[in-house]
Amino acid sequence: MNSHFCGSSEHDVSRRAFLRTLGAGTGLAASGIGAVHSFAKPALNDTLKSSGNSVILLWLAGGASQLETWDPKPGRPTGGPFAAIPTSVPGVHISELMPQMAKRMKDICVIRGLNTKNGDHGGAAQLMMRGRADEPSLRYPDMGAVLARELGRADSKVPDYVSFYAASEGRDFSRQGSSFLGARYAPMKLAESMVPPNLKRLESISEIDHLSRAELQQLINNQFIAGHGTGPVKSHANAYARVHGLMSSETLFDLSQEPAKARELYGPTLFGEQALMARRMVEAGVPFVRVSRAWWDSHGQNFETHQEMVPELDRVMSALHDDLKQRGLLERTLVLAVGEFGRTPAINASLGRDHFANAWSAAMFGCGLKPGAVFGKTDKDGQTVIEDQVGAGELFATVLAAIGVNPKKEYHVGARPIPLVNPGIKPITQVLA
Amino acid sequence: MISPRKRIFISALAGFFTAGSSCAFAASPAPGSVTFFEEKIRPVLAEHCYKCHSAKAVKLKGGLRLDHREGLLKGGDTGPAIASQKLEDSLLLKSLRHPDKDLLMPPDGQLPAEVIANFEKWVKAGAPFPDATASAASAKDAKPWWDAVAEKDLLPADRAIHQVVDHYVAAKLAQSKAKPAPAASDANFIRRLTLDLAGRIPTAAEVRAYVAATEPDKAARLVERLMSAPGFVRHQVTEFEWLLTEGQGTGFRDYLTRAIGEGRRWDRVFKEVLTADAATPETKGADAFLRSRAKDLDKLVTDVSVRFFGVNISCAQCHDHPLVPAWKQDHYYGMKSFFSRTFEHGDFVSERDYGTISFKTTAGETKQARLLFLSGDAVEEPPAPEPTEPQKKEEKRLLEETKKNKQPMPAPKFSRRAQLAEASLKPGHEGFFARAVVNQVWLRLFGHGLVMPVDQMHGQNTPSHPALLQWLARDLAQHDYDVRRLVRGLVQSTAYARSSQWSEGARPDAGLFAVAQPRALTPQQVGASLQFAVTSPDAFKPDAMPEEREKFIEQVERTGQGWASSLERPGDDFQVGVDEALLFSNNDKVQRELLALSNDRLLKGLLDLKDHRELASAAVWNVLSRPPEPRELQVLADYLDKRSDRPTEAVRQVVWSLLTSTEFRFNH
Repeated sequence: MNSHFCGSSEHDVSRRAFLRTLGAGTGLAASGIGAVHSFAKPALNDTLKSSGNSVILLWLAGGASQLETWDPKPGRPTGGPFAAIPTSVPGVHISELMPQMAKRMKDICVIRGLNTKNGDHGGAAQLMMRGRADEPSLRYPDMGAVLARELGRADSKVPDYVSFYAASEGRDFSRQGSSFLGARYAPMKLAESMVPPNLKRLESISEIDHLSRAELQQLINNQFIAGHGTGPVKSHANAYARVHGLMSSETLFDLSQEPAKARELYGPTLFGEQALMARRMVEAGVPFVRVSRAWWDSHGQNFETHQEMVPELDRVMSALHDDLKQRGLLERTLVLAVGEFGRTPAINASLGRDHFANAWSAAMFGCGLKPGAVFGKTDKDGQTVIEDQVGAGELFATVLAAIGVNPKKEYHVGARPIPLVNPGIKPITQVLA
Repeated sequence: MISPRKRIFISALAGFFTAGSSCAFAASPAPGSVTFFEEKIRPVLAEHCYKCHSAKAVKLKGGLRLDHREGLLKGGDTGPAIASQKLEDSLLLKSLRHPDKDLLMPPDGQLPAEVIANFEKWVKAGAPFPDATASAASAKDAKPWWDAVAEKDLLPADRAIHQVVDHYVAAKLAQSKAKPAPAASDANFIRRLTLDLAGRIPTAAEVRAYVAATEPDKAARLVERLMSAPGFVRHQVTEFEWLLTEGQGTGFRDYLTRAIGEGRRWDRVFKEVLTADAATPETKGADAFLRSRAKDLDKLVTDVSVRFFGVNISCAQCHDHPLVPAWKQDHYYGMKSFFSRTFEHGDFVSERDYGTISFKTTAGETKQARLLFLSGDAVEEPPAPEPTEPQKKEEKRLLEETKKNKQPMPAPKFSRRAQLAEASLKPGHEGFFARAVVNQVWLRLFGHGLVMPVDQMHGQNTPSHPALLQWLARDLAQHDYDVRRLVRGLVQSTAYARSSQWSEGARPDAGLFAVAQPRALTPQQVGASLQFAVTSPDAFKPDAMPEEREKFIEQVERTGQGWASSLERPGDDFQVGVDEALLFSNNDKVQRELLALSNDRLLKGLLDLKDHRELASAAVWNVLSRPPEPRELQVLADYLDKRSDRPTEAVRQVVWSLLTSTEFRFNH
């Protein structure tokens, strides 16, 4: 049996030997001390720039009202106090609360015919994130996990799936989002603090000790792995091999690296900062970032809530649009704004709107989409979809197709083929470029 | 949606199920293989072509038959479908690809590009087409594998479990010509056994004592010692709780602790869980299983089928299973019927006297479901007419009253749910139940079930050792469903005690049990083991009274459980996520809890050892539960030598590297 202990004491500091013993390429050459400074310059280190596509999901937790955003019905009994304004697409009007997006409408795609039938926060959130309801014995992977798998790189120094989870969202619906794809594609979760947990080296250990300690562990592992090389065993070693690469992406999460102008564009709110963070991440090649803005669930005081939150969404979405466009990232990034459902046209006694999944909207722009397309039509009060109705599956399939992933591709669980979207579900070709 | 696949192709695909198909991303079969045809070509032909081009066609179109090879070669009005000279020019392929709607096949829409590509691959490979008549005949007669194992051919019932295991495993090994790995070393064996029977690593003292012991039956004694300790019950409860409820359902763990602590028969546990009487103290908490699922009857029936019978029939909810003749929609709704009268009522689970369910088949027919167990046996039941108006009123009144008084509804005269217990445990019909628990216990101890995947224990999925599984199931049923006895027997086999190390090329197929499987520790095992690893050997007072020792052991286990919540329970094809690596690399908890310097901790004692080799050796003994290898001892000692200016940090780093090592993380 080959032993990787050559017995020489030089082994524990020789990085070259350490890299040799690792076997599979992990791109560690760029990690270590040097890469910590790689984000100091505004332009990214070339070795880390990705040529792959990315998705930014602006998750409107709680369910934003389509009547106060993309599908207003002014003048109707269900219309509410806000007017509709014309946009840069002739004939298309959106809520007056979104003047900036109205100007950019030529680049935006709106789906107005969503009918997803599920009005329960938990179930609907899972439905929208996975593109379908789970079966009793099978949990489907969510959009982030699928894109992490399809677009992520094996040796990536950046995470593949990042989720900014707002505590005010309630229960965390991205739990076990990777399901049968495995822990490799689980999201890196950031709570309201913007830095991922456990990415920073503790003060109590020096940088060089941190690395030497890891090398020592690798040396001890090599002996064991040589005689016990199963998939799960190797995954353990691979997980540790990625640590330093990911740690070097720590500066990715440092917003002070961005010039003041960029931060002003997005605005001083947490949502704005996280959206800016998302842009940094897709620039570095993270395939999927989910930024949550909670809590849109306006069962009471719907109009005050939306008067406060929609302009922020307007500003942040426009900033993201302009920023991505200016940096040449729009061709490879898709931005989707959607929640778990919409809100009822009927206004309740507390001047609120309740959960409503029969006729609501989603909006997106970027990679692979037909700019200015509006698909789907609701009736004059927004009660039902009268033209081009689609469900969660169609929206999911459209995002996949736009970003360059074949929705018909199949995974397998045992002998059972699992297509990325259920059979019969097709992407909405009318909004694809 | 998914249309039914009426043809059942068992012989070609039986092998597919047994070949370790638990991995998520299986490699594709060769285009010339029968598997490729059965998997990728015949189903498409059946779904898209046979309506017009088979023996079943109402009106055969174009004179073309595509349901046997002859038909392909002969072709129809426009010529042969397969051009035997130039395969790529075959008419079959041309019509699939054709952009012209009039010549395109199928006429209702072109097949997806990958499907056409598969057809191209198949035709280019010579279009192998197994004889339809032969496989159709065999499909109809496809008997479950257990029918082919005659009882009289099994080893006699009075043999010891471990002998039977070794007999059948050796027989298959001899057939396969694979050489088994040698026995695991003593240190390796006690670590494995302590993890499996007590959910923790052994202390260094326990390992040393076992290694030094000279009695020829020391392994059997070790098994007895571990199985009589309270830690055994705790660990079994954890494992069975996970199996049945994945930790959900308050009160269930308490119930299991009582049941397993008393050594209750597994069939009794099953009955108690199924017919849960929340009132009696003996079964209190057993209803948590039903209560957490009563809202969703489909989930309930699937869970019961998977966890107690090893059979996932959820696909049969919408269509007959394409490959398993015994899994039709009738069976799914037959099983669901046992639960259809169950409903949640306040804090209780109650059952009505009436009600049947009906379902729609894929052919559009509406059928009334009757009580049907997985074996295909229907259960007779008394007629249950719909209640009259006055009866409905009375029921409503009772519902309100009992809810107000926080009482359960009165039990029905005829309980469909109780019938499931009876039907599944009837002598001669207990196969599903007995085999399922045997397979689960086997999977837990060997890392690979006799049937894989463990929720596909149907008649067409042949186990790696059919006779062995039948013998073990029979043995369990004949010995009061005593799971403890089964565990004792399995861990005393030679197969269980094999080394997990394999250094001569590719590891043999797991289903041969030629070499032990490394198994990732469960979160509870990690938590407990971490704590044991960093506890000072002196804290485990070997001279203390056994009760005091046991209490201390329990305390140590519990202290370690904080780690369990950060980790994922290993499943099929487990992968360690990078967040675990980051947690252990950078989280302060590691420093504060595991690498602390308090008196009862390993680190304190290590720092007192001035000789670095002695220090390194003690660290390896305590964390990895074995003596160090000479070369690793050298590496560790050198690491310490180089950092004599910061000894505390150096020792911390050495211990860290052992605690986070792959070897520690796995039961091997």
